[in-house]
Amino acid sequence: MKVHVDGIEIDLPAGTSAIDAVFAAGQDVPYFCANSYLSPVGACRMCLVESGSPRKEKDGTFTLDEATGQPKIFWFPKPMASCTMQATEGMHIRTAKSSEVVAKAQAGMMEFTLLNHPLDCPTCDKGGACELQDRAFEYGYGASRFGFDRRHADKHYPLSDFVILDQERCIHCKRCVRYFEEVPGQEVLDFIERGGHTFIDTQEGGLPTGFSGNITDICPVGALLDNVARFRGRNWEYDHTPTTCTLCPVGCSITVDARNGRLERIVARENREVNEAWICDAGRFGHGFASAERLTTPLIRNEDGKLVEATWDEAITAINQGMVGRDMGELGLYLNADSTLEEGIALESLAELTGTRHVDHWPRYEVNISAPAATLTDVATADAVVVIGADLGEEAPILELRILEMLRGGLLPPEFAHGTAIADLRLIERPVRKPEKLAVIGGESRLWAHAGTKVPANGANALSRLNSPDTDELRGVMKLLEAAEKPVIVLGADALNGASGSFASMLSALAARTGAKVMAIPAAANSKGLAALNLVPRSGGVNYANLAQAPAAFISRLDPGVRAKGLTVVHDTHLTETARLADVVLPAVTNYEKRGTVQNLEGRLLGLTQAAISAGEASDLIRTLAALAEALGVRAKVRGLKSAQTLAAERLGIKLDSVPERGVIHTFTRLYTAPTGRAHTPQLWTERMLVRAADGVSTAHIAGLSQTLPVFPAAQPGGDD
Amino acid sequence: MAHAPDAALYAQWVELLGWLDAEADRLGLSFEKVSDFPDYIYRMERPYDLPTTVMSVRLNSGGQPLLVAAVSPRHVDLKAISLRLMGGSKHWHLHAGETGLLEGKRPFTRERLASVLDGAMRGVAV
Repeated sequence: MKVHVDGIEIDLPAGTSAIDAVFAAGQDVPYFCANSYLSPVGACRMCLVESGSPRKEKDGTFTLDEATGQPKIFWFPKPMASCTMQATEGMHIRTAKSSEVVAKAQAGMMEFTLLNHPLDCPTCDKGGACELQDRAFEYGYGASRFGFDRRHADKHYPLSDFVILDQERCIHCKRCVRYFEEVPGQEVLDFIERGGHTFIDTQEGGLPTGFSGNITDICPVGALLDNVARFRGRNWEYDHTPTTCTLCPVGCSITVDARNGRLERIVARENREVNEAWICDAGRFGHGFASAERLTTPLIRNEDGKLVEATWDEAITAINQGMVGRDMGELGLYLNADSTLEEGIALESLAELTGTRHVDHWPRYEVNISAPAATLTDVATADAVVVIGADLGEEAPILELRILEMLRGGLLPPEFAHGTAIADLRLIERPVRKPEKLAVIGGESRLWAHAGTKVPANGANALSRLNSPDTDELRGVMKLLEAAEKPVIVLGADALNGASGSFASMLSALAARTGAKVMAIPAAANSKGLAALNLVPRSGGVNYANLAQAPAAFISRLDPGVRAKGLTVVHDTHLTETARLADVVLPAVTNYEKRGTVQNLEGRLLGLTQAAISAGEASDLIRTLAALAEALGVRAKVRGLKSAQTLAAERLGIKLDSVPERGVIHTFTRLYTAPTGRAHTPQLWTERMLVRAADGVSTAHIAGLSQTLPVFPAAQPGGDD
Repeated sequence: MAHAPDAALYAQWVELLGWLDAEADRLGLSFEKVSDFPDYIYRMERPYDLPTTVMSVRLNSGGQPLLVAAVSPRHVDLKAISLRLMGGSKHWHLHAGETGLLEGKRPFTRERLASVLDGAMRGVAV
């Protein structure tokens, strides 16, 4: 399909919207209400363009222009909203660059949008990252003719603990309303009243926690703001670090915004393959712990039995002394399963070096699923999904959004050189959902509201019951799986806890019979990747569940609440209960401050980048293990990220130093597993994540300034001249 | 329509703020400032002569705004005081009169405000 934009001819797939045609041609058009992954509605009228098409005669030939002999272009009488107009074969589009009419229409709309806008820019948290500001500079007249009073409504009104609303700043683009209806399927926000009095509010007494934070990303103005990051900094002051969230196994792409060494804000980053443009509230707002009450120096136990601050050298000496009379192989090594692959490799190589049998990572399950794995795109484009024993709100929230995407047709917006389609005309407001394509077996969860078939069942035996259905409901689910062409089975903690090899073979048989792909939600952010490493107890080794029986232990970022029998070294970001019991505490970095690679629930390798958060002397696991090796009197093979990646290339044949931005699916050929001895209860929000950013603010550094700040006297009335 | 001078509007606005505060006390609502005049915040060295810096206030019922009252900033044309019942599609447009606030030609007295708020409270209770 050939389209001409400002005289530039481009070739586009049929169905492209005019706004995407303009951007595809490298031209620009302002817009407020259109947003990728949401339905276009043509509410803001900023994307007005002039357009025209050739017309055909009755005999099928083009009406020709008598002067030029070319097909004549019949222009629409008025400027058209390009976000809701489909580009058609031979269409001509003129943007503000080549059309006076369009430039005037856009400047006029800009003036109109700014009429009632409050004069909050200097105090508005969005200032500097505001679409309204940017478009006003680019397309507005730069002057105001409106001399009357502006709209007065309620301001700085908290819709929930996390989202704050300013009704005066709202330009009524309806992005947030459409987001809630279309993406998480929650109808909680809407316009109230009509005309100039229209405002956004909720009748539900507040926004539900889950996916509400995304409206703070998509709001083009400062009407909806992240309350956790409110008044923390200006957008241009933050150090933006693109990285991956490791709170759950989905591995959403995020941008971590830090300022003066504090993590102030997390915003979603687009990854079409994983989280599209959305992240969950835990991922966005649950970052309080990264800058609050951090451990910044090592602690060792003194003669009085108290933990006191020490240097790394003293800590290494303390570990060395604590191991006197012990074989270094008695020191058990335990790490959190959200550690990176590089850290896992470092631990595996140290375990090899010390010859310890006591190695484990947590959380994990005992089963290795060999059935064909589904990707998140497979889930979104499936024609039937069966969720067994999963509470996605706790285990993998974005997976829930991808399932809801499947229910409304699995329409993935196309991608252009300028990114994801700004307006995908197939997406419509208040989409029709097909709940019959979703069956949920297990405990009650948020997803129940959207499922056509809900089978209350004990997650543990749900699969075997499904395999030989004993009720009409389960027979219905089996029929759904068998009738579907691209079914996906999602397995959660209730099904995977205590599952064994027979579970895996039963699942493989079911997948083979129905042609289903399987997405087994791993227990932690990198459980899937770490399973490729030998990080499970060797024969006779003590697993994590029995840590108290280990002769001595090094515990990285885990809080079992017990210590080992002998020397206990805890490596953690905070002084946890376990750390209080330890002999030596080493400060760790959070996953926001790591470089490395994790593997998400679909097997995608995703990179972590280091955000500029001040962590004192804290150190990641790789360097801590090198220090631990030093204390044990051996030289660690892996001493840094590079050597870990080299070892990964040798052992696993993967290049971790060049993981593409969107990640890459990788299947490890060999997986290790062992009995866990305890069940894993997934929990997305933990107590420390709820520490509000404001609680941790220290003003001591301001009061303690020894010099007085230069203060200039007020200017003379009327200016200096 | 003959209007009292602007000074009367702001004096009556301050009086209305007092009424709102007292009525909020009576009805168990919270009375909060919503915003200051931009013309006060950003005035830099320019003189400022209004009796208050408060441009809009709200009466909250259970954390949700019930009524928002606002006055026009000093530089705008066709100045007025506006009262709006949030979500009720009810809007009052008040002007300064020689002896007190006017709702069109009808005096807007404290009793009138009390009856408006009583009505709003009945709506909240439903």
